[in-house]
Amino acid sequence: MATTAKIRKLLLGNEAIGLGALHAGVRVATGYPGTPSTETLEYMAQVAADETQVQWATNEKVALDEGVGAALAGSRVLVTMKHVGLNVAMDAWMTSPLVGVNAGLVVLVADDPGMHSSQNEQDSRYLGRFAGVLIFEPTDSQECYDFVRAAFDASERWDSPVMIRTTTRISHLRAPVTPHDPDILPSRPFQRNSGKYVMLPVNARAGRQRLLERLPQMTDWVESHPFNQEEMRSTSIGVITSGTSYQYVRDVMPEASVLKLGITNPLPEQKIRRFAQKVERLLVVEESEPYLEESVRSLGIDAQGKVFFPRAGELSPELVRLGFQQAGILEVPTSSNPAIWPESVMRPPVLCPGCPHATPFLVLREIGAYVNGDIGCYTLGASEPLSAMDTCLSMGSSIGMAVGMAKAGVKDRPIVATIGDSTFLHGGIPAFIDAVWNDADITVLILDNGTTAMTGGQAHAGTGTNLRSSGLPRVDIAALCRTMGAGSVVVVDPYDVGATHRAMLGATRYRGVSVVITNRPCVQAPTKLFGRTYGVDANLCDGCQLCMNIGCPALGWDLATEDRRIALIDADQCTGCTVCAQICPQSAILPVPAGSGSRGGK
Amino acid sequence: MNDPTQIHANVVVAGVGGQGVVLAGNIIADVCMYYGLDVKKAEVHGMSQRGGAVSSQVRFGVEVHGGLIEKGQLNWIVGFEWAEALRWMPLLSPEGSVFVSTEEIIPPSALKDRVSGMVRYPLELLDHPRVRAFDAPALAKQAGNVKAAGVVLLGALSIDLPFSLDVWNQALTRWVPTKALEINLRAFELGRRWEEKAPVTKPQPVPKPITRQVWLNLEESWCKGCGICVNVCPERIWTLNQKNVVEALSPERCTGCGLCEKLCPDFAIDVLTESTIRVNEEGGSVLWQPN
Repeated sequence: MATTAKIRKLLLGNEAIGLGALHAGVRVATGYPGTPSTETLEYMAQVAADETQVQWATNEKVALDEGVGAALAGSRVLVTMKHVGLNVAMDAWMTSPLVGVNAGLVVLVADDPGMHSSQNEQDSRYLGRFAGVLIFEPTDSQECYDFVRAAFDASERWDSPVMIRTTTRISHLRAPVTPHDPDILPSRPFQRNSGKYVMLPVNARAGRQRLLERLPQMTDWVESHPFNQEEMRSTSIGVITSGTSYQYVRDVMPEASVLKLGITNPLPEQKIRRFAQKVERLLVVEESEPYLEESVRSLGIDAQGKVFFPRAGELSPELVRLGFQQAGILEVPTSSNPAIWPESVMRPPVLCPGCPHATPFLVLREIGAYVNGDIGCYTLGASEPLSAMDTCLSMGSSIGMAVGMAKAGVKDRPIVATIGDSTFLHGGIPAFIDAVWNDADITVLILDNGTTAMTGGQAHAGTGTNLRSSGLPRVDIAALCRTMGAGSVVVVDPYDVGATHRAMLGATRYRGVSVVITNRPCVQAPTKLFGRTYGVDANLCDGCQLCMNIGCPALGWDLATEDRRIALIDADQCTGCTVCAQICPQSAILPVPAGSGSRGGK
Repeated sequence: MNDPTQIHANVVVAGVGGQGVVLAGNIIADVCMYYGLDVKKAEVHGMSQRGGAVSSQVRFGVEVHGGLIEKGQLNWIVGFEWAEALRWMPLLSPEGSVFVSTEEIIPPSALKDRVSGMVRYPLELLDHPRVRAFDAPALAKQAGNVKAAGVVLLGALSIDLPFSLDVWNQALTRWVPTKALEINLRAFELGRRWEEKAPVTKPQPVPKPITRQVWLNLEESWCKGCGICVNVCPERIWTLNQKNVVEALSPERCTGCGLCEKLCPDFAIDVLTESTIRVNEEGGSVLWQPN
């Protein structure tokens, strides 16, 4: 390894974190998939030595618990999650700094400003500060690699978990990384210490004291830490910044002096004061919340930030430039005459051709149920043309919200919760038990496609596999629902439109908690599925548009006819799920005779 | 611009989820790494990969900071799909240029106007000196697989860049799966010669609004207000009024699928289109005709 380590590699920020963790001697890595954090464990699973444990956990809280357990047992641990995943892990997160670590525990929390693939854009730095842990914020892939290695040392030095906080543009930035030789670590076997590790109030009080004692010491340490770098250039403008914002500032205002904060909790107060004194005007450029700005101001230093740089959404070089223009620092260009290009098209994400989630939402739309959705590909059931979802809040919320609706006395329509297999195992089970316990009259529709599809097809407890293993025990979701006390559990093939309709009608008429499980595998993962291609008989199709209600990307229009829009199936995309053929009133959609259809041009 | 170790440029590879946009960006970045350049590449992962707009922004030079390309600083667009290339054109620098496939992937959301049948998609290709549009999938098919269309476009881009063919081929070898390598190397070569090899693109006729007519007939006295038609209608045109009788809320939206007629237990609804009338005429029994 030492001989090949020096080669410059092109890595995603997430991959660099994974490699850094491995080179820091991590022996356990766990997490729950969530954009933009997912690739970290996937990469580690590919490149780690056989004895390294890299595995998905059922949810982020379980992952963090496993992390604390492994750290106390003497293994360096990386735990990965997206920002909203930290909320799930919050109980363990807040108390883990009181327990401390034995070997290093680093938690990657990947924020998603702009909500590319998320339900909120919370700034996790507040949650790092809340827990009183060190926060490292890398600005590119090389720093991802270097910072994670330093974070493990820091975790052991301060006997505390450390947060690596990235954002989408750091996690999904691919850039060169030069790795260094891997660490050789002393053994740190588990040492019984119930006075420190058992959070009885008496012990927790001591843990809290230890936390409060180390905070000022950590602050001193951070003051001289090289990750907080003062880059002096012109003294007329000074910018305090971190993460991807640092890069935008360098692109847009290369002449500005910069205090680049690689550690954003605790903050180096003296360093900030010194920097503020050296520059004539001080700005804070950061994405999402005014986390740094408020901290700088709380030191009594005059600084401006969110008055020029937006708090909502992610920053971009344009927005940073605009902010500097509004601050009167950069000149507003005299209007040039830009080329006028035709407008492009909206292209929101859609369910894939042959997606087994389409039929259940077609059916729900017909039944007219109140549908509480959940987090996954099937949240797209809310968008046109399926338009069959009324609420969606957070991972596992669908069932609890359905119970709430039922308890509020809603009776005019059936109340349904739709939840995917992975999300059900992640956060749906306690709510499900609650629904049975409190005798809620709801239907739970479990869209079981045998994978965690939205994030790219990860294993879960129902798949019998994990990142580096197969042949594992697998949860039988139908049996689990029966065990938890559901009165009616029906498993149905979502490619059978009639059967799905009947199953849903029956379930919604059942009094109590009823369950319908649709059980077709995802067409994308773990393997791409294709059946026989279907085509439209132009003589039979009368252009009634019924099939267009599936929202299948393989279905389009033949634009040649003038009096109607005959449906057209893209043979390269069609997976042969037959749903459109089943609902066509004219029976105009038929299998393409073998040999005449094209598939991928082969 | 001619010294490959001193070049500074920004390239966007744009397409639709599943077209190989991320891979193409990696190949460009890999070539830049060979020449010792600094590279930053912003990728799209997650929800957008479900058929949404996907891009790789590749920035390279002696020193590069952020991964996002600022408006007016984009030098090349490699468009795997027509509208996706269009999306990036407002960012082009005054000298920037575009290599784009004439392939048009019309998203389901562009086919919402079912009554007029109008497509909300910029179907017409641009006649612009800096937009070089050609049938990349046709060349990919020639190379052996239509899926290599992206690599055809990379080949076209490579003519504009000062990197050697050998280095490109090495990068392809590193990133493309072995079983598809031969086809992709051929596709790359055809892309370099696209001007002589690509078939002439025929302009697509721009569709006119359709003139379909649908007649709805409701026998109110037969309706018992069960609401089946209200729920099944894909266009949501029916509603139950205060008399608990169905009423057409927006009959102009009817596309004539006939689901309500077929599922009405009381035979209260007739949906007639030109084609059903034609059938009836052929059968010799016209049930009903519009005035």
